Amino acid sequence: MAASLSNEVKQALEDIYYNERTGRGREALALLERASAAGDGDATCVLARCYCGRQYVWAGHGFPEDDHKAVRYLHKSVEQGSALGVLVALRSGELTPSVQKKMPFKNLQEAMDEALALAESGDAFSQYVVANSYFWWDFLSIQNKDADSFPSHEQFKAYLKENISKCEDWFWKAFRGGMYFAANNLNKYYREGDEDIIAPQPEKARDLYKIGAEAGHPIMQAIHADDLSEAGRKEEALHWYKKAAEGGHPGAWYDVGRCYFTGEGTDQNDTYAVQCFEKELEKNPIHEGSCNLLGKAYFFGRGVLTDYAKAYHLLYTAYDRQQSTWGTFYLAKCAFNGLGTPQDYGKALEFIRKMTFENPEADYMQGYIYARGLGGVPEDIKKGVELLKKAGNLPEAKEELLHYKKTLFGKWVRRS
Amino acid sequence: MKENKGWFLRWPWNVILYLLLFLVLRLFAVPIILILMRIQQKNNPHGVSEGYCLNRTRKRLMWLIWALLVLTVSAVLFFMLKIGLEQDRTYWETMDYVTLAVCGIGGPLLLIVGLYLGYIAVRDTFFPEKSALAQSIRNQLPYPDEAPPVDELFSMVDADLKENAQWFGPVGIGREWVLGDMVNRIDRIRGIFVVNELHQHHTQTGTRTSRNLELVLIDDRWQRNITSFRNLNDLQAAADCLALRVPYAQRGSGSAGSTFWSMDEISRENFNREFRQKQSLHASQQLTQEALTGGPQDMILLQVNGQVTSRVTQALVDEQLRLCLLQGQGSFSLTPNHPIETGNQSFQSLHVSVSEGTIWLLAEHQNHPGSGLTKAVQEREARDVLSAWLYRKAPDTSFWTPKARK
Repeated sequence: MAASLSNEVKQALEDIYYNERTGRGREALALLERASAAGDGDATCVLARCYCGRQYVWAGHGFPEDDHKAVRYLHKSVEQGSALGVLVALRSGELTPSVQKKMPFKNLQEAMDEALALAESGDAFSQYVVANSYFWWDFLSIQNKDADSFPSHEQFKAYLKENISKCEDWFWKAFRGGMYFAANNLNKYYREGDEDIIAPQPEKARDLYKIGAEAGHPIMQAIHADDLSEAGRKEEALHWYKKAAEGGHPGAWYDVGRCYFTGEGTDQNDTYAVQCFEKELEKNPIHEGSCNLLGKAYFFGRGVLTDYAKAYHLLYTAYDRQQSTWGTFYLAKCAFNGLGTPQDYGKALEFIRKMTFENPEADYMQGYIYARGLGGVPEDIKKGVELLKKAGNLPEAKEELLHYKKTLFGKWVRRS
Repeated sequence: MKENKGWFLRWPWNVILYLLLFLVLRLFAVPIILILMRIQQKNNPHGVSEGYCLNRTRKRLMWLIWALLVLTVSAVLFFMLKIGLEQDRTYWETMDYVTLAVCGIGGPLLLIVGLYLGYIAVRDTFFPEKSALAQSIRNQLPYPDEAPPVDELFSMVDADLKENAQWFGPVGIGREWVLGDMVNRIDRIRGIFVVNELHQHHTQTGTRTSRNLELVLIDDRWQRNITSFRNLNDLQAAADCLALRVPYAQRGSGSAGSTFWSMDEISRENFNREFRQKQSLHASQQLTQEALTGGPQDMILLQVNGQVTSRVTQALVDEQLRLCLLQGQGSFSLTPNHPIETGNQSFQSLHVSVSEGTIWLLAEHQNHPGSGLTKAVQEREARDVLSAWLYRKAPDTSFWTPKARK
């Protein structure tokens, strides 16, 4: 039973959580895999977390999300005698009776005691695990208690309050120690409280992400920037987006680019915005926002020379790979006019149908297609004329409308 | 406009048939003639088979009927004049003298009018080179006195209308020419006016209402051409269409056309100058826009490195080939935004691949990805084919091998 974490685990925690900007995430993962193979249960526990996705580990490391692997490692960490592994498995619902039988602890309290010892020694990850055990009411299972264990409901509530409230201190210790994920649960604890047991204290949550941002955690910087942006403090938001981007947070370069592209919190600078989008796409070639805005930049020649093929490729990537409908209007224009892609009225119609807003040009394109029976749709002059009229004063629509006339019987026909 | 393959009688056989029917059946021939004319119109819309312009001048033959009517009235007036002069005027009253005067003035006047109408009808129908329509075309040319023969004049207008015309009742608007009762060059139009007047005639039996629908076009030499319409919608649509083609022309209705036409020399000069300035500005804006977009961008290049661009230049294409040859392998493709057609073949893309130093070209058939015609070529031929492709010219695929998709 470990009284302290191994050096490998400590190094890995440093690179993965406490000082994630170093960019040594991959090396840390390899280190954990070696340590786990050598029997280090705590390494196996941390390894399991790495495969649990962006809710449990910074997305900037680029670790693949693999639930099966995560569960396997978690079970292994329990078998290898990791107290932290036991608590994490309990939290995740993976401490099944068969797994629990394999743990070398007499009971859950023994594991909790060991975890507490690790937390007392100052390790932020351990402090976070312990805090979660209190926050999520796992202490009931650990202490083998329930409502029937108390003579009255009030005493039970008092017991709950006493234990739940312990999470606050541990979360702060973990947070300050570098375990920035603690801020999320602290935020929840302060804003929502816990049923009628812990009252909300929203004012305490106000600066949580700012503290994390100032401590240099890119994800906190990005969240803090989002909050500032929402509050209308655009210039400050941009400052933190840049920090997050420089720290390698996924999506942050897009946010910076977006601010410069739209002139939000700064003077508009299309050229720099394009550079930001390209930086984002280097890390993630199918980043939805970057594909869309860079596509728009190429379409209109903003910050770059107009290049319809590039515009179409980028917008289509976002559409196809991310199911984004943001750029469907521009995609429709490209397909309709043969800009950057072979002219295809059927595709144009497909894109128009996916649009989420009304637009006179889209009405014109649809009207043109229906009135002439293009793109595989049967000719429907009446529908086409309705759409062309809906396009209002658009010169192309007015010109196209001149091709049709109403007969005496009220039927719309094409002029000879 | 497509030529309709239905039955119709070429001129002058249709006119001869109408005359024969009228001689045989008299008034009963009228509905038959009207039906035949409708069939003619359906199967030979706007006279496309004989030429729009020639068809329009030949319609002037109808004026012969008006000429005959006018001459008849003139003859009646002359007869009444003769009778009146031979009569004893002792007991004549003022009205009798007025009647004599009317006959004396109206007769010769209507004779002149009738003869003129007959002359115009015969001239325009049988001598199209002297017709008002041909003259209106000549007037639109830079040097009217040096205009080509009438066949060439008419074919110039007919070709444009056949290819591009939109018809609004009696008016056909092509890309360069407008055919109404006269012909206008679209780029010379300076004024587009619509006349929509209601006239009421009070007679002993009641009030008769007639409508005057006209399209008035005034060109840069301030020549005015008027075309009559029967349908207000067609008239408005024709005016709207022309306004879209010549956005800087003066537009108006009613008496605005007369006001515009009767502008003095200085005002006309000023208008023409402003018109040209606006046109130049628009043209230069379009040029700037095209320069910014790097030309038409009608070709998509999928480069050796997997990137796409539509800013395709000869140099860029040459560079792709050079890279492939340098590496001994690689591929790229050029896809036009519209398929390139040649003969009975249509190609949607040209793929170039280099394998072990050999250049393979694949001209992909439209709607058959991976299938087409292929050939191994030398570098020079590859460059020639690529150059031509950039100008949307398909290669000579006589000795290319069909390749089907696996």
